[in-house]
This record gives sequence, structure tokens and C-alpha cells, in this order.
Amino acid sequence: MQTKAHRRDRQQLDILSLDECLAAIDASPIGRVGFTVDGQPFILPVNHLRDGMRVAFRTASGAKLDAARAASLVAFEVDGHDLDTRSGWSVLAVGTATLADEIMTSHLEARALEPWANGIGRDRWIVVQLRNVSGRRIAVEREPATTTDTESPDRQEST
Amino acid sequence: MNSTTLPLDRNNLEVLDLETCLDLAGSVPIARVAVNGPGSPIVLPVTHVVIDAKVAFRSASGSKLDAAIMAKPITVEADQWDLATRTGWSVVFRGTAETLHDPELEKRLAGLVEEPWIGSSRPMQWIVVRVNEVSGRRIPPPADA
Repeated sequence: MQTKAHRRDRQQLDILSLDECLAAIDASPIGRVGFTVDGQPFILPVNHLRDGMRVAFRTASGAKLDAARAASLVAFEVDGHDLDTRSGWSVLAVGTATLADEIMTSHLEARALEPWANGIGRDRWIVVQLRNVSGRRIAVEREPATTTDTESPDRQEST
Repeated sequence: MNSTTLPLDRNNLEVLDLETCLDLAGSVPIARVAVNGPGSPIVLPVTHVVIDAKVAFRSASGSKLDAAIMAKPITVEADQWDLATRTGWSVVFRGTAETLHDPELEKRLAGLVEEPWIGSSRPMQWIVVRVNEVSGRRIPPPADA
């Protein structure tokens, strides 16, 4: 998260580059997965790993696993904030969730720490292939933006 | 947070009672909202307030979030994690998003929070989540701690 000049969106938020977004995902120990079950959005915190344009996390049986079985589109989000400067950032990605196969599972197990919640059966990995990745940051300084892209929608950065 | 024994779910997570959920969710400045976007959910952070067992946050009029949420299902999640002890909690509110039409509540909300973090040039409006369900889980510290 360097301070070079960023383009800003309509809300005067800095638009983060893909590299910055991926670095933010790596630097965040906890991410959140958003998915839809029967029309209701859900959010669950996860302890994730990134592998290229994929993020992976373990899960026990339940709603996350069901979403992955259905190969559904899910959201993956990380964020951070600083109370002193009232600044913050977030990265939102969208992708298709699938259950990891055996090869992917052993690859992930080799890289992973043991799961946090010492729960039984947290042994299935879900992999999200990231498609759209976008990131925004509250600009700490309040000077006028260097460039303002007034026509683009709020969050449509695509990879 | 006292040490009364809370029930565990099947993943060995503590099941938080309503009062604990509201206390914890109100103790952190940032929460995340999830709404159904076109094709996939959208998850965005908000600076929120917990009041009268409801959750409120501000949104810029005309923003993508604003367009997606009105009178539709919404989920608000707050959490906090301690990397050193590998513990943490997460509280989830499920409900419906509404614009605020209660001047009394608006006055109380305005007294609770400072100006929004995002210096948007567009007007900010309060969104109140009419909550249908609150649930919370906590990773308990190791038994020998």
C-alpha cells in the first residue's frame, strides 16, 4: 500500500491496482466469504491462503461446503482500517467456489497452518477462482484528486 | 467477557447469547455488509452502530451499495481476531435494509457517531437493518490457558 498517486472513483476513494489487491489479500490473516443460500446473503470469516488467482480455505460441513458443492459464485473480502487516521481499505473479489480435489488438497495442506478453530472435521478445502478483483482505499489526505474518472461505476475493476 | 460456560456447536465454537452478540458487535468500529449483487454477493466494509438490537450504518446516496440493498435481504457481520492466541469471535445479523424514517432515532444515531470516514461529496443517508436473526460464535481459548 504505497502512496503513489492513484486514480479515484466517484466517492473519492483511491482505486487499488491488482498487485496491491493481491498483496492485501496475502497480508490479511482473515478474510470473509460472502455467498447466497436461498436468496439470503451470508458472511463467514475464513483463514485463507492465496495461490495465484485462487484463494483457498478450510471448512467443516455446513453452508460454505454446500455453496462450494453447487459451484456457486461467491465473494471474498479483506479489509483493514486505522482509527487514528480514519483511513481504511478493502478488497473485494468474486469467483466460483469449488471443492479442492486430492491433488489440490495435498498442495494446500503442505502450505497451510493448522486450522484455528480446533474443530473436528475442518478438513475440506474450498478453492475460489478469483475473477473480478477490486480494491479501494480511503485517501488520507483530502486534496482534490489528480484524476477523477467520473464515468466509471463504483467498483468495476476487472482482471 | 466473563468465563461463564457457553454451549458449543458441532465445530467446537462457543455459541454466543444475544446480549454478548450485541455487546461485541458494538465494540468494534467496522463491520461488513453482504447483499445480493448481480450474479454474486457483494461484501463491503461499513462503519456501523448497534442500537436497540438493530444495526445502522451510513451509505452515500446513489452508491452501488445503496442501489443494491433497499428492502432486500442483508447480512451484517462484525468480528475480531487475536493472532497470538488464535482466538476470535464473529457476530452476524440477518435482516432487511431500510432507510431511516424515524427522526428520533436519527437524532440518537447522530449523537453516537462522528462524521463518516469517507469524505463523499454526495449526501450520506442512514440505513437501518431490521434484524430477523442474530447469531455469534467465538473460538474459545485453549482449555489449559
